[in-house]
Formats: sequence, C-alpha cells, structure tokens
Amino acid sequence: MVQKAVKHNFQVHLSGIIDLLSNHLYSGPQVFVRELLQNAVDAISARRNEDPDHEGEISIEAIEVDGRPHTLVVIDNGIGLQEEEIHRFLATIGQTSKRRDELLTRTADFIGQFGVGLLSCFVVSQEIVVITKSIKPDSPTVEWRGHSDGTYSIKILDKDIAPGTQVYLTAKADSAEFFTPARIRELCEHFGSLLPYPIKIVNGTRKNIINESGVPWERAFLNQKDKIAFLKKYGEETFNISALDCIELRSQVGKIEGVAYVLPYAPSLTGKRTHKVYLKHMLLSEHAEGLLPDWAFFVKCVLNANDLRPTASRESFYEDEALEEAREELGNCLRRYLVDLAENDLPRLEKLISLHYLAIKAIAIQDDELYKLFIDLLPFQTSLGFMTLSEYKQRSGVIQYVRDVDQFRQVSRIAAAQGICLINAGYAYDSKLLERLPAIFPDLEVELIEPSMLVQQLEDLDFDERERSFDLIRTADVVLQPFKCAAEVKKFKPSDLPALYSANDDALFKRTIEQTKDQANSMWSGILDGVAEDIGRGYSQLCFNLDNSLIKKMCGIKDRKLLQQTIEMLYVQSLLLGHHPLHAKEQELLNNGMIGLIEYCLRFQTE
Amino acid sequence: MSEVDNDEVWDLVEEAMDMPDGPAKVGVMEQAVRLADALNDVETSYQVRLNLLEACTFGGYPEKALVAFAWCQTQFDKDPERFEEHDLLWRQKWIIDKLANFPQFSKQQIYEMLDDMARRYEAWGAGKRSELKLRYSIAYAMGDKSETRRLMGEWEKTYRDDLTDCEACEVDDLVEMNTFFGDYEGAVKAGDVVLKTPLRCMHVPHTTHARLLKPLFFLGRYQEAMQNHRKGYPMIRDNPAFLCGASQTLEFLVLTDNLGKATKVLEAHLSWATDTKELWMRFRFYLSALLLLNTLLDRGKETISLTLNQTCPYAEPGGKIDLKVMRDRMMKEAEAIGASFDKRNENTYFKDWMKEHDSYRNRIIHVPLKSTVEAR
Repeated sequence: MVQKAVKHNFQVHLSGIIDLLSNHLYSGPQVFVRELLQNAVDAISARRNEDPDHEGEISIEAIEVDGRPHTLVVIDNGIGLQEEEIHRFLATIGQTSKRRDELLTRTADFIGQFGVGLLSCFVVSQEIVVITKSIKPDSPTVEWRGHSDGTYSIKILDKDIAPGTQVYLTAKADSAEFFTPARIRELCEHFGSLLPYPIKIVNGTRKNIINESGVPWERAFLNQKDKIAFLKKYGEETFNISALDCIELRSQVGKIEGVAYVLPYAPSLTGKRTHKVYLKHMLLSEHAEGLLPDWAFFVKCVLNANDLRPTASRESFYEDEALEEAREELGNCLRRYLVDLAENDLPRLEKLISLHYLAIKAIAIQDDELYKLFIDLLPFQTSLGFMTLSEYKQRSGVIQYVRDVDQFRQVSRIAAAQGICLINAGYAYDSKLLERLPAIFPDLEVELIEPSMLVQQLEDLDFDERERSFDLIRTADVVLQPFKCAAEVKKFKPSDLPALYSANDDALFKRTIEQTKDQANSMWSGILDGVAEDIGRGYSQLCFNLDNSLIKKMCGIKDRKLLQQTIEMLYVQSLLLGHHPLHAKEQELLNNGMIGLIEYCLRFQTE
Repeated sequence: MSEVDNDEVWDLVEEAMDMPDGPAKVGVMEQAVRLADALNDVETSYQVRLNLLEACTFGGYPEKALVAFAWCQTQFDKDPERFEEHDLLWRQKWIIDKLANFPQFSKQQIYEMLDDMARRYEAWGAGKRSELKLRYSIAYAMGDKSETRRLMGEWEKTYRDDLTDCEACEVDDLVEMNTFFGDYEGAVKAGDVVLKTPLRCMHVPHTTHARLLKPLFFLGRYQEAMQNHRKGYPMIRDNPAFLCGASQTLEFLVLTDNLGKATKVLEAHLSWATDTKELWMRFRFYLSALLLLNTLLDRGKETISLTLNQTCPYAEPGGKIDLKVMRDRMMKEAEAIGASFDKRNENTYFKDWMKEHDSYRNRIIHVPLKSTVEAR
C-alpha cells in the first residue's frame, strides 16, 4: 500500500535558522558530520537501553555521480523512528529555534535532538531524506523528505527495512567539497575516532572501520609499561609531539578521563593553553581552554568528559562550578604525578624541570608542599652562572639575591669577580619564591641585596692607601654632588675596572624622571616633579677601584682641574658602561670633558 | 662606547612580553628601555617605551607609566609624522585615569592634563565619551558623588568610538560606580552583564568578581558573594595592579568572619600596598587591613604573625607583630594620606570614608569558605 505523500510545513523560518547555525554558532559547515554521527550514536544507545546485547553499527558512504560528489548516506541500526516521533522532532525544531541554547547544546530529549542534528545538514544540503523503521513492533518504514525551503513530506513505504535509520543528503552545489569520500572519511575520523560503536566507511566495495582502536586510555593492557608506551604513541599521533612523559587524568566531577602529555619544549608563559577534548566521546574541540589550572602549562592533554556542559557553540565547556571542581581534580592528578616523581624518580623530575622550571615555579608559589619538594631542584640565574638552589646552598650559607635584572646587571660582574654568588631574582616568580624561603625553612638565611650593600662588602683600604687616595675622594665628592652621587674608594677585582656605578630602584627611577624632564614641556615638568617628590631619596654611588692602575695614577694628580675632569669622565664612562642613558647635564660633562682632555693633550704637544 | 644593539633590546622586550604582569615584567621592560636609550635611536626608544607603559599600567606602576608617557608624548609632539598617533592617544587615557590617585597632583594640574587630552582626542576626531568617563572617574576618585552622577549622566548620552574603552571595561566600571552610590542592586545587575555574557578584557572579569563582593554581601547574597571570591581571587592574587581587588577581598573575608584567611591575604598583599606610589590604592588597602586589625583587637588578640617581605616597613624579624602597635601606626599613616587627599580635593571624603569603613566592624556575619575548592 502506498500512501499519498502529504505536504507539511515546518512553521518556522528555516533559512533563518540555517543561517544562524552556519554563520554564527558553528565553527564551520563541516559540523554536519558530527551531528549525523551524534544522531546515529544516540539512536544506537537508545536501542541498547532496551536491548543491552544489541551490537550497534554505523555505516557511511559518499556516493559520486559522474565523478562528482553527490550524495551522502548514513545508516545506523539504532532505535528507529515512528511517524509520530518524526512529527515530534519537527515540533522540537520549531520550539528550539527560539532558544538557541537548546538548539545547540543538545539538551532536548533524544527525539528532539535528532531533529536539531538534522537541521545542521541543511547548511550543506538542499534535500534530506530519512528512511527509518522503529524497533517497536509493527512499525512501518517511514520516509521523510525535507527541503531547505522549509517544506517536507512524510509517507509510509511499502518496502521493509531492518530497524534503524538511513539518512540521505544531497550536496548543495557550493558544498560539494564536503561530500568527497576522502573528506568524509577525514571528518568522521576527526569527530568520531573515540565513539563507542564501529563506524564503517564504505567506498564502493571497500569497507573500513575508522574507530577500531577505541578509546586509548580505556583499553586493557598487560602492564603499566605497555599502557604508557601505547598512550605515548597516541600522543605522538594526536599532537605531533614526542612527549617527555604522559600522565593519566581522572576526575569524578564531570566524569572525565584522559591523558596529559608533558611537552618536549618550554611553552610560552602567556600563550594559550589548549587541549583536545571530547564530550561523551564525540570531539568537542581541539583547542579547548580552561580545563587545567593556570600553572599547568607544561602539559597538553586529550580527554573525554561524560558530564560537563558544552558551550552554545559546542566548542568548549561552560564555565560553571562543575568545571571549576573538575579543574581542581585534574590539577591534583598532575600534582600527584609531580610528587611521585620527586619521591621515586628524581632523574626524570630533573629532566622535566630543566624544560618546565617556569611552570614548576608557578605552582610552587601557590602550594607549600610542592614548594618544599621542588625548591632545591629549581634553577636560578646567578653571578656564577645557572645553578639549582641546592647547588647554591652548597656554595654559600646565606642566600643573597637582587630584585631586578638591572641591579643584577650592575653588580653581577663584580660579584662574580669576588667569588660572590648572587641570584638574579628579576625574572618571573623568582622574587616570590625566594621571599618565601624563610617562612618555609626557618633555618635558612636569605638576604635581599641592594647594589650598595654589595659595594660595602668589597675590600676596604688600609691606612696608607686611605691617605694616598684622600684627595681623590674629596674632589670626587664635590664633583659628583650635583649628580646626587656619592663617592667611595675600595679595592676589588677585576682590576681593569676603574670604577663601578651602582644605584637602587628609586635612584634609577629618579634618573629616568630627570631624563624625561630634560625634554618635556612645562605642563609635564610640574607633573614629573610631583612624581619625583614621592620617591625616596634614592641612592647612587661611584666606587673607585684602587687596584686599578689608572686610579692609582689619579691619586697622584696634583692639577686640581685635571683631576676634576678625569673624575667627571670616569663617572660618565661608568654610566655608559652600565647602559645608563645620560641626561642633559651628563651629556654636557661628556662633551666638555672630551674637549678638555683634547686641549690638555695638545698643550703637551705645543709645549 | 656601548656594545648594545637593537636585537638585544627586542630580545629583552620579547622576554618581558612572555612574563606575567607584575614587577618582574616591569623590571625587564625598564632594562630594555635603558638599553634602547643607550642606542640613541629615538624610534626604538619610543616603541619600547610604549611596551613599558603598558607593562606598568597592567602591572601596578602608574607613576612609571606616567613618566614613560611623558617621554613619548614629547617625542611625538616634536615629530608627529614619525609615530602612530592612535597608539599614544589610547594610552593617554590610562595616564589621566590615575592622576587623581596621587595627592601630590593639584586639581589644576589634573584638569590641565585632562584638557590637553580632550583637545588631542577632538583633533583626532573622537567624541567626548572617553573624556567624560575620565571626568566622572576623577570626580569619583575625589569622592564627589553628585558631580560623578552628573558627569555619568553626560557620559551616558555619548556614543562609543575608536578611542573609548571597550564595553567590558565600561560595564565593569558601573559595578564600582553603583557601589559608590550605594546602589547595590544596580552594581550586581551590571556585574551580571559582565559575568553572564562573553564580555572580556585585560582586567575584566578579574576586577568584576572582587567589585561584586561588597554589594552582594550587603544584599545578604552571601553564597553568590563567596562564589565570586572563589572565582575571582585566583585571577588577581599575583599581580599588584589588582591591589584594589585585594583590598576588596580582604574586607570581604573580615566581613564574613574568615579571619585566618583574611590574615593570609593581608600577608600576601601588604607589601603591594606599602610599595605602591599610588596612595589612593595604599589608603584603600589600609582601610581593609585596619578593619582586620581592629576586629582582631576587638576579639582580644594581642599579636599577629606575618611573614613579610624584608623591605616592607611593617616587617618584624621573627614575624610576630604587636597588633596594637601595627594598628596605631597604620591608622596614623592612613589618616595622613587621607588628609593629603582631602586637602587637595577640598572636602572631607577620605576622613568620612575611614569612619564609615570602621563601622563595618559591627556588620560581621560568619559565612564559611567552601573548603574543597578553596584556593591554596
């Protein structure tokens, strides 16, 4: 018996919805494959609810006509639909179209979702035909034919098929690229490689199951070693990296399982941390963010969540309390891994730290237990080269550090020459880590060093030396006074360095203000004075080195003017050596000093 | 005389760009600027300074940003053809926005700077929205409610343009303004707009969560407030630019009677407050800190143990600090800062604010922190 086809209408502005889906919410037209697979999986799961022994199967074939992509056929042996249910899913489309959240998050019931899934196919297809037969007794085979203009027809077919659903899509002219067998296969692998039922790609007489290997971390292995080897290989294929190690992830909240791969390179600190995530075994995104705590930037992971809410675009998870708690649990997996390494596999931990010490520093700041475990292993830049804190402690009883890179630059050479080991804590996290040391290890002595303090540690002069350099120091004090710079004479290595300029933060900032004021207009100069007003007096110092032959000679200069000029030039030279830009008055010193010295030389010449 | 080259400068800049916002990043950028200046190449110095300026603004050093900006604007005015004007104008807002937070700047200086900005914005073809936002922000910083309200009314009538703040920042600011006016419902409503939509920016929603604590608390919506604390605090706890958020967090923890956690927050951020040159922010933090210290004294405590950075003036060797001594000292300092603002602003806002804030001691209600997801 053939029933006459009855014309119906969706009652919604279908093309509007299709436009919304394709242009605004989905990442691209290719998601129709995901939606078709999801429909098939849901149908099989529904059937297995009633018959747990049923073996589900999905087959997909891209048919070409005259060598051109034409039709896509997706067949599942799931629960199938009755005519009444088809009417129901169409009604759902009408309703959900007003609530775009539901339209996209697949929160409607199975039947409703089926319709919503089909909708996305109109993005690439002019006509969709669904032939379906419900597993319910005495269900006829029903054909539904829908068009992208919003009309559809339903008829009961004479022919009997096995229970399940067949979907036929005809390609739109401009969507043919999505219908080639190669592309379909690629998309099925992309979205469906972890799906629980076999997906068979049919190509003429060839049949291929693309998800045979199943979910890697759910497989049974003989032993842990095999498992790790397998997971590593999976990571290589997934991310194209040869991971240092892999860590199993599990969270009760969100029902999450997966693997984190320790990156074989040091990632950017501020870059995006994205992961490959599946929702109920369907690929959600290859670039999902926010799944792990901030500090976990040394891993990249792939995971499946059975119980997290996707965002409207189905490309990430919705930021809610469940995600927050899941993130904490996943973070704990990484934490346990690190603790385990510290206790059982130090060489591996050292290897990890050599690449990822920034991440480890970031987490150590927030976590006292990890701090205790890792702090000795963490590397720091010192005046005597890179070393771990434990190496440092072997060298020196007191831990001395300077707070920023500039101060380090000022004094590291001198410190090194005297054999003083000084940490440069000017890089991310280092200051915070060192500041915490005494709180966690009360016996350790930690000292924040200002450059001036270091200068104080240099060797003092004996009585005769002091007498000899008395004129130099007195003249220098007078000469440098307008530059708010103190003078000092000490003895230090390297002896080829005549003088050392050092200044603290406030003094350097004052220099910057001074330098800016030299150029800025009057409106600014009032403001800049205001800024300078609130800055401490600052401290800058020029320390002469009596071990240096030039300085020794200067001690013998009787010509006051010449001595003065020499001091000025040394001051300017020390500034330049420390890469301190000169402000106007100093530039003038340099210019006049040069001319003066030239004149002085010429005088000898003419005499 | 110098062996620096351009590459070394940009290597440093790149290194800094990869660091999280905060003092370390500012330090490396400053070093890059010094090296650039040593090259005597104005163009490089200018570009690197724009980066420094940004690092300072988003890392809690507005006074350093100001000096860098002054230099850049001076160079720009010398040779406007040479540099991109929008870059500079965009940053000018950040500078003006902070001026009123320094009591050493007179009203005349502040408005002179603002007028200069307004002239440049107008010449560039921008509307008045940015200017009006800054005008109301300044009135707010000076504690002038009616003027703030009036200017916000003007601001609302304008349209967004290429130089106005993004929508996320604008709405986030409404949370603060409504709280300032005592309109807690309005504050929460604005907060919802930020948090329930994808509105995001450099500091939004980081600041939003902390700003919502007080209005939600005083509306009796304790659980929501706690949720905002849990979500927001990890976003702000590592960057001194969020000193205000840290102050709001500390205040909230005292109000909800979580004094142990509050003490931890005080310990973590007190040195931000003592270090900052932005006295408005120091004052704001001291209010919250005093609320904690006074509450502890009210409960009969005598000492507080804090591991503080050795440069922090409140640090004691051994870590045990006499509560009363600390309270008296901080109160004196806060009063002095408040007085310098009130003098400049020609009102008694800071004095009144201090008094009002002290009355929060009678508003404490215990709300437990949820321990399982509590930030370590």
